[in-house]
Amino acid sequence: MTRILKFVMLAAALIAMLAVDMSFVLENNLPIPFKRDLHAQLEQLVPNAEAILGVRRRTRRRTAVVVGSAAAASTAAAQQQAYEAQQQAAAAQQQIAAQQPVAASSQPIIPVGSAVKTLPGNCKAVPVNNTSYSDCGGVFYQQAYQGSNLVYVVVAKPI
Amino acid sequence: MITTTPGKLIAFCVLALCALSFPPRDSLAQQTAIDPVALEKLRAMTDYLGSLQSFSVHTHNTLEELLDSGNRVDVDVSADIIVSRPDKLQATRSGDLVDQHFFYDGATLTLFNPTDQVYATEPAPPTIEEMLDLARESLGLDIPAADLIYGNAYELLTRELDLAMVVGASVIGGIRCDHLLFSRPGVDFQLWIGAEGTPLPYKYVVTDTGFYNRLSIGTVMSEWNTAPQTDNTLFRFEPPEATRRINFMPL
Repeated sequence: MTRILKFVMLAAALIAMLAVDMSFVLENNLPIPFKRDLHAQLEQLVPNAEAILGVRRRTRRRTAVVVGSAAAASTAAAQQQAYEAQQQAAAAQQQIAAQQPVAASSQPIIPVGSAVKTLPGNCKAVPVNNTSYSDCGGVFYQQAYQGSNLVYVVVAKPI
Repeated sequence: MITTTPGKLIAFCVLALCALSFPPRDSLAQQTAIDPVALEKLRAMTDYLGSLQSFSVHTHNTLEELLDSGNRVDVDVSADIIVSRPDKLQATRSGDLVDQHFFYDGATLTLFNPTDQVYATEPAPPTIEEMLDLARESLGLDIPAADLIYGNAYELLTRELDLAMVVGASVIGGIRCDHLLFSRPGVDFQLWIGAEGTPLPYKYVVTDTGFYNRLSIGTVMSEWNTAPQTDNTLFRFEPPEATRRINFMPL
């Protein structure tokens, strides 16, 4: 009887100590591995610095859709789905892409709305209704500002 | 009569351990001090900046970024800003591969990249404050040190503060400054405010404390001019020939 009691009390003591330490760690922003994930979830929901632009910019930048090259665009779309907030939008984009594939079947399908910093090679300028598009092997891009960055956005084939 | 069983002894030990392992709340409480002198100096700066009908300033901005490898790199962008209250702002940015002009004339805002010969124009609200909100929230644009340009900067900066302190004296760009530190949940910011003459800000550093890597954005301000030229033509964008109009991606 006392042996069991001893064991239970010791276990309780250890758990209590751990719980107390944990709350201390969380309150003080100590670098523990799971803190990162916790924060990644939270920052989507609670931008805690309305006036301090720098922090907001950083949050936004981490979740930006821009990717380095056209080839990586499809992977980025997959990663994008991981973000809960953008999940629906990404799904919608993929549906659009599935309905009207913008690339030839031999190439990876790049969803409409993806943004790349530089155009792939072999593009030609296609002006349609005073708007300039770039036709890169059947994938059409339109230049745009994403924030203050110049990017090329994949669009449906202009008529 | 009191009996001492092993069970009771252990229970006592458990309670004692719990009490001991609580974090030292008192020492944390000391850090949450608000020094009224720091608030006064902040107020003097924001009041002075807010009272200026127009001003121009050169800013040098350093953005700390984290590479995927975990290494930290700094991205540097300089910007010259002209503000004419209540509804005009112009900024010219140059730096790491950035050559960009921003125009706001009270009716529209425009971003123009001369090298790429492209620009985008959007209708804009009638005050600088509303325009900054729109630019940040709908277009993802940031004007360097815009936090300080807001007419109600003091209220915005002091919201939820749990620390305000005078760190000490410092010299920024040859100007004697008071170095202040403020903290609120998730954000620390430091300000260096001119200690003699007009209380202008000379340096502003914002640190994201909500993320373990604690990245900062810093702005060093110089060449303050409180009576700049404010020709209307400065704030209005006329697209040069051969430039193309493009759009902002919605956020």
